[in-house]
Amino acid sequence: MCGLDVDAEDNFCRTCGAQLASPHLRTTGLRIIQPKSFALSGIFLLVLGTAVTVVTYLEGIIPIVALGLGCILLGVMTLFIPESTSFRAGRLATLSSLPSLTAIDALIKDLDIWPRGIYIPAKGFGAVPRVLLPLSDAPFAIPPGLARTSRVFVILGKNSNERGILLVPPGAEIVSALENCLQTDLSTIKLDDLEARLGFGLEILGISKRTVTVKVAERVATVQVGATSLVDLEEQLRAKAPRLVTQVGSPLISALAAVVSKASGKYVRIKDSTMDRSKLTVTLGMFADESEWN
Amino acid sequence: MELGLERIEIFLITYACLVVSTVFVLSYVSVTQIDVYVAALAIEYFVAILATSPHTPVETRRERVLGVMLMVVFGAIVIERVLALLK
Repeated sequence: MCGLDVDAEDNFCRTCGAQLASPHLRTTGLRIIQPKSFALSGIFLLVLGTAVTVVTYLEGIIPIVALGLGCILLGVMTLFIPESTSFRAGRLATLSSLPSLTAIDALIKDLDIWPRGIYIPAKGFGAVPRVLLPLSDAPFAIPPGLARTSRVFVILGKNSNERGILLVPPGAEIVSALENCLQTDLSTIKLDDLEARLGFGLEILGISKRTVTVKVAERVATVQVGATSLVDLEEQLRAKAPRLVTQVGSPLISALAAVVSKASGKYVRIKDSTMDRSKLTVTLGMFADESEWN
Repeated sequence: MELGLERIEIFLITYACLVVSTVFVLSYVSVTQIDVYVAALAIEYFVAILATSPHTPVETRRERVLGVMLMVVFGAIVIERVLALLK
């Protein structure tokens, strides 16, 4: 890695694109190796239980024989445990979406786009905010109607910086599914109600276990999602597509940004996202117009 | 309180606690017959399963095998005790 151009907030070099060790990524090894560790624990309990039972039975210590039998039972039960449902779901989600997301990451790198994406608020049931990747960080006006266009490369003014790439956010389907299961247009709900609605919706979708907190200050929103089942995808993306995670967001991060954008009616930018075990914390900047961009 | 545990993990912890406490209590009251312990372990297994519902429908099939085995053992102990009373 050349290491010539590394921004304080980045985890990759802006010149060569090589990834640094991510400061925000704490591995969840326990969950990843869960099935194997369960099997090893099961065998251990089985062997220990058998040994204790046989020895203490020969010695005639009946309570310890019972303890040994309990150990054997626990070992057998532990050996019966397959990969958990959420673990399988997370892995399937990863396998199906990782290639396309890493391709977008490569596209961002090849086009040499550095600014973070801006989520443009959308209104109406089923309408998903679009994310604009501006070619430069110099502020310019973004018309709200841009969220309805199907174009990808957009020019919004005479200046060369007033252009960008308009993408459907990686979490667009999560937002649609949320609206469908809540039967609510997210642009009509108040930010005070967002925490309860989002928690309920993510639990119904099997993404989280109703451990969602949303804190909204004047221009910053912090969203925490605990016990997410998409932890596998999140970790792999942070390792393989760091630019995408930083600039546009992973599917879950981008869904949260899109939801906040739609509910607040403001433009939203991902300021920071951290993954601690299976808890995701996303800090979002909100602004009403281009004068508040930075 | 969210501990981030899967249901199966809660089941295993619950059952382990039940086993240890049962052995402690029974040995404290000087029970020395092994069949009493085994019957208690079998009952606790079903109680823990019902209380925590740890398995998905696919896993339930496997769980049934163990359940049937424990039920057979428990039934044999009960029958033996009833026959002993009848003699």
